[in-house]
Amino acid sequence: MRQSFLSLALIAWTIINISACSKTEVPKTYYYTIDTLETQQAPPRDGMQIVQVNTVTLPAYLDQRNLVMRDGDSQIIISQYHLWADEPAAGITRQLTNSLNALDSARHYQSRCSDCPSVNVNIEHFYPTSDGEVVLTGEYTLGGGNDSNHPFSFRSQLKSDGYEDAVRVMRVLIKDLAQQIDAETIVNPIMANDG
Amino acid sequence: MSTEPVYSTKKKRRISAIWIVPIIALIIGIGLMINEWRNRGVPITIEFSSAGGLAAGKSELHYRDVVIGTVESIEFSEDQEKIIVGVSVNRNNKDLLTEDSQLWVVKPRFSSRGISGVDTLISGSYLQIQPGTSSKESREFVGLEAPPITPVGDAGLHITLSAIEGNDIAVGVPVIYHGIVVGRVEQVSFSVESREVEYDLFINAPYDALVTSNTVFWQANGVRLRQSSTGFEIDIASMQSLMSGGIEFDVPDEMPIGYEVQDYARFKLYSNENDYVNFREYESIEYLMEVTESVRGLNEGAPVEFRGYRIGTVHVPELNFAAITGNASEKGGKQSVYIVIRLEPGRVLEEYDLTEFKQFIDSAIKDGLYASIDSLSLITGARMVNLDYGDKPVDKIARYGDYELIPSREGGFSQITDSANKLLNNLNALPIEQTINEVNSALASLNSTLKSADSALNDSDLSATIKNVNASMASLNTLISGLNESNASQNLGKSLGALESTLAGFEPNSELYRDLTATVAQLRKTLDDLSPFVNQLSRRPEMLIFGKDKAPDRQPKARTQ
Repeated sequence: MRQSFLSLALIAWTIINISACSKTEVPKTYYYTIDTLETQQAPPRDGMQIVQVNTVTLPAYLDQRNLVMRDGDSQIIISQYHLWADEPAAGITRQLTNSLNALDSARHYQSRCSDCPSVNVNIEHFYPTSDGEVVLTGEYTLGGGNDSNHPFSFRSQLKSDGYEDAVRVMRVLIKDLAQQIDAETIVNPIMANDG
Repeated sequence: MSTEPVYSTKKKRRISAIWIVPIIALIIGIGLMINEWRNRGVPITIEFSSAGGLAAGKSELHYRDVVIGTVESIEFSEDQEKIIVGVSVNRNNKDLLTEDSQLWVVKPRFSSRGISGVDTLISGSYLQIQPGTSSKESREFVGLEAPPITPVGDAGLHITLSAIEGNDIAVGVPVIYHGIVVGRVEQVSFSVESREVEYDLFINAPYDALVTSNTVFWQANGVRLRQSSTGFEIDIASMQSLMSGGIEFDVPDEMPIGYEVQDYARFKLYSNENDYVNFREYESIEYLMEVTESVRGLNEGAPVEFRGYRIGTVHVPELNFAAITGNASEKGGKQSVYIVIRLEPGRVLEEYDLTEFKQFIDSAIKDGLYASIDSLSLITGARMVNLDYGDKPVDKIARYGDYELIPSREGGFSQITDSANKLLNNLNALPIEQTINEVNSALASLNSTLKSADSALNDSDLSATIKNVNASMASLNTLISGLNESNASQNLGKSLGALESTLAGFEPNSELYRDLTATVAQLRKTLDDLSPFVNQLSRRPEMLIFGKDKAPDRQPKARTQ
């Protein structure tokens, strides 16, 4: 009785495994990067103010390798076969830093420095929607901890279907954020951090 | 010659021979009628409430298992309330039809005496007769609804018992004397005049001689538990008593046998043997108690004891003295309650004089005898009256109305409850709630302080620092132990050098630090690489067996222009 049960269990396990090896094709996995080769950083010149760009903070559902898409008003769809090649927070920070350096000639933005002012960006929504829109919203602070929050909100339309175009538009929105930050620093120069 | 005819006539018969046949037929008919008349039974009528399975022309009348008659008709009475059964009884047995004869229907019956009439399931119901002793004949009878408990004419004694409550004693319940069934309950009824239940008993001869004027009857209990000086004793009654109950009787040991009683003598039925001892009526003298405490739980019939000996009974637990005299007494500012107690010398003395007993009690009151209400049972809350010496002597016994007064005091239980009330009042006055609130506030502050200390201790930098300090302390301990030896300074130097090397190993430029940093980075990278797989696996664990979902991802679609 026990042997027959074990035999049946083994046969069932074999069938399951064989069925797992079916010839149904698995979709191809795509990897994306948000920062591109065209925006490599240039070294700082003498007299330039050094500003540290801290790593942006993302909500948990965005701080992962899988690209996400919003469907409707609140549903988030996490893709299986479209992944970030790098941590999204690091990639967005690099893209933002490169964009700021490309805009501002009086300051040099870099990821790390000692005793220098900083830019802190907190992203709340950054994803494409199912109806062809890309959204980037959040807030940032400039300088020391006493600076107030500066909210931002950018939207743009996809020109073609797919995540590839969505990543392209997301990169454009980061450039828009860099422009807002740059405009803010011109009006309100960034002061160094206290203590 | 003329000739005349000669006429000769014969003499004709007066009765024709043809009449012989009808005459013979008539004689035979008359004979048959006479025979029928002679064999015809005696018609009687019996009145019943129901026909009880009888059938006209089939059911029979039996006497001692011999058929003596047949049911001829079954009809309703004129008022349609009763059933009139017409029976033809054999002429030979008409002597059985006396005015006190008893007739009933024999059918299957289940009673406390067992199952009877089972044979009628096959033969059908029939009538049974028990002839009476009267000399007067009767042709109309009222049938019994159940077989008689006692046949008419049986030798024995009829007595009547009375009880305040019906004690589930039914007709047919046995009457028992020392375990022997000597009679049965014939009838149970309720007297509206006396407001008591009455039981008609029949005691069979020769046991009827056991019933005398001093006989006490009580209801037999199935299982009786008694406590004596040797321990507990369990008495179990007969099986019939267990099933259907019973009535027992006897003459108490302390009483004489008594005189012979007549038929239908009346006795009282007690609930149990002990009730006779407790509720027996004695000669008594009455006194009045005046108390200011609650008399809840003190009932009529409660015992009056003197140092554990019962010497009386509470007669009236709450006498409305004010209603009788129109004067309500004030004692210490509280309304008094009056209790009438009876002191019964017959409970403790075999021979006594009631007048001398009263003189003794009066003398005792003057010497300080007092009464108090004490607890009889903590479970039921029943109370009793206790007499004891201890009060201050008095010169004269007070009178209230027609009663003489026994001085009273609050009972021991009342004193205990008063003390408990005072203690509870004192406890209630304590600022316990305020104290508890202050303690709660202090505990809340301590809790938040401990949480702050805990979060500080959980800080990773602090933990690392503590670990470093521990390591340093270990080295220092080695150093201190080495100071006790002669080359302590050398050991100290070595230890300091070792400590310096250890601390140097943790500097950011040290190789260990770089290796640790690289390891952490590699681990982090590995976790990042595994992150998508782990996320998928958490959402779809079946992926391990059936593989990834084959459906392609939904992708955003550009809006059509």
